[in-house]
Amino acid sequence: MERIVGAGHAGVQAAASLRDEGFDGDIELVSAESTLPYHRPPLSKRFAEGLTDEAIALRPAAFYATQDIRLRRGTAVEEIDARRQRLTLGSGKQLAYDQLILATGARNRRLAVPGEELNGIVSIRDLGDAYRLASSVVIGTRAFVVGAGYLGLEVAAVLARRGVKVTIAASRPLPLSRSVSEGTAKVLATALREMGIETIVGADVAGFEGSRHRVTGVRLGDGRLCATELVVIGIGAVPSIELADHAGLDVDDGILVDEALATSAANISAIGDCARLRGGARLESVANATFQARRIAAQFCGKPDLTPETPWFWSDIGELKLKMVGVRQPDDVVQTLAVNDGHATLCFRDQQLAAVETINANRVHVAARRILDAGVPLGMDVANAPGFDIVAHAKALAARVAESSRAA
Amino acid sequence: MIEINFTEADGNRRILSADPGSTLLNAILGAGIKGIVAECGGGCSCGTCHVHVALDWTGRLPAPADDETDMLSLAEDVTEQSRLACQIRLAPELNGLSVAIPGAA
Repeated sequence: MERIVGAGHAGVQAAASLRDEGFDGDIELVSAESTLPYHRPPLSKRFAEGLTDEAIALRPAAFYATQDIRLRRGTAVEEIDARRQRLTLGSGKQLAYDQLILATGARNRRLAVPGEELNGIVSIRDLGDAYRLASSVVIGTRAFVVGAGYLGLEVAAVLARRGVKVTIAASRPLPLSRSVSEGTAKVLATALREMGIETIVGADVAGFEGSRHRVTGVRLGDGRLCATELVVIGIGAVPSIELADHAGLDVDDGILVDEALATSAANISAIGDCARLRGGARLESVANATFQARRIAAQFCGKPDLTPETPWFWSDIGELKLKMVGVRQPDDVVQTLAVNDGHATLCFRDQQLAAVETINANRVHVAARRILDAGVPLGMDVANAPGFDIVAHAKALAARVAESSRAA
Repeated sequence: MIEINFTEADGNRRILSADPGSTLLNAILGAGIKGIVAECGGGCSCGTCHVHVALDWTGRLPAPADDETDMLSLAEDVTEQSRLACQIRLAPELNGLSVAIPGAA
């Protein structure tokens, strides 16, 4: 019996990939949520569109039946007994496992300031949060967004488009500055201004004020009070590691796993947002969750390991389609590429292409992914040469790869 | 219901059924077709729901938007039959649509 705790992208993909690879034993997904497992990215990007459970389901309900995957919904796991290979559910019921995959994800970081419990203060992680936020969108009202990360910017853009007056409280001068290069961040900053979104830089939130249990204002650290009808908190996420920690597994900003995604306990693996490679990074992304899920399924079924994929991320901020492939480092040398109606920034490390950020430049993004995934280094000298065309370069590379695989 | 003739990677043929108005991707995921990951959830962001539409059907589908063409521009096995399943909405007149996994035997 293969049991998977958590039915987000990682958990559901692991179940799907196990069947894809030919695993014919029992598979059970244990989900704390009562809904059909769903895509999380649309929650902050498209919450105002009247999302339905069906429209954002990871797989239609029929999938679980046709693939013989048991989905145990609304079921919290209380405890893992790693030695006896058993889970204890909230109901007290115990479930044995042969192999356990932890895909417990992450949850939103809290601000931990007075007044955080007031109505009208939301943070988006689950479908219920998105519904609550959608019902709070009223034209002509004000919203205060804490945090200029992906979630904060995505939500701010949607609210602004719906006629809400949005203010963002940011810790740094430029949005997303922890994740993207200065050039890309400046393009985003300009776009936010054009959307009518105001940014307060360097303001920390001291607390919230309210009336009749509903938020009415945000008190900043310098004493200022910003009146508002809605507050959205987007200050990052923390991995859900408590179950693993209590079971005695090694944890440190994530459930620690080796290259094979094995935790420190026998027959327990961890994938997705909750897992961190020993000595490496923890990636919060759909692409990483999917890749690790496919990798573990291939492993369980004795199939060849997957070729590593360059991490990639996407965000929709109003009309801006931001995409990143590779993980930028602060010391990378950056070069801007001219793109019709869009922006592209190439990031070089040790004279070689390491990451690419694009805004409304899908073709460049796809080309960059192709180049980085192929593992054929692209030198800065080549990219800097006059007339360099990254799309043509990727096409030529793809043709060479196809040729050599035909020859083989 | 709409029926779709689907050829899997190993050449096996199946008939998928779908509600009119839903996407081709939805029908594919419901049937548990191998080789379709579709990680972005139909947002035309990942390019992992690439299918080949039979030649006699390609002209009957609405033309791809720029986003879709861009995502497909460097996909493997890309041909004039290439489409992203998430972008194909199954109108009633698409009953009988014939689709294959790229590189199907």
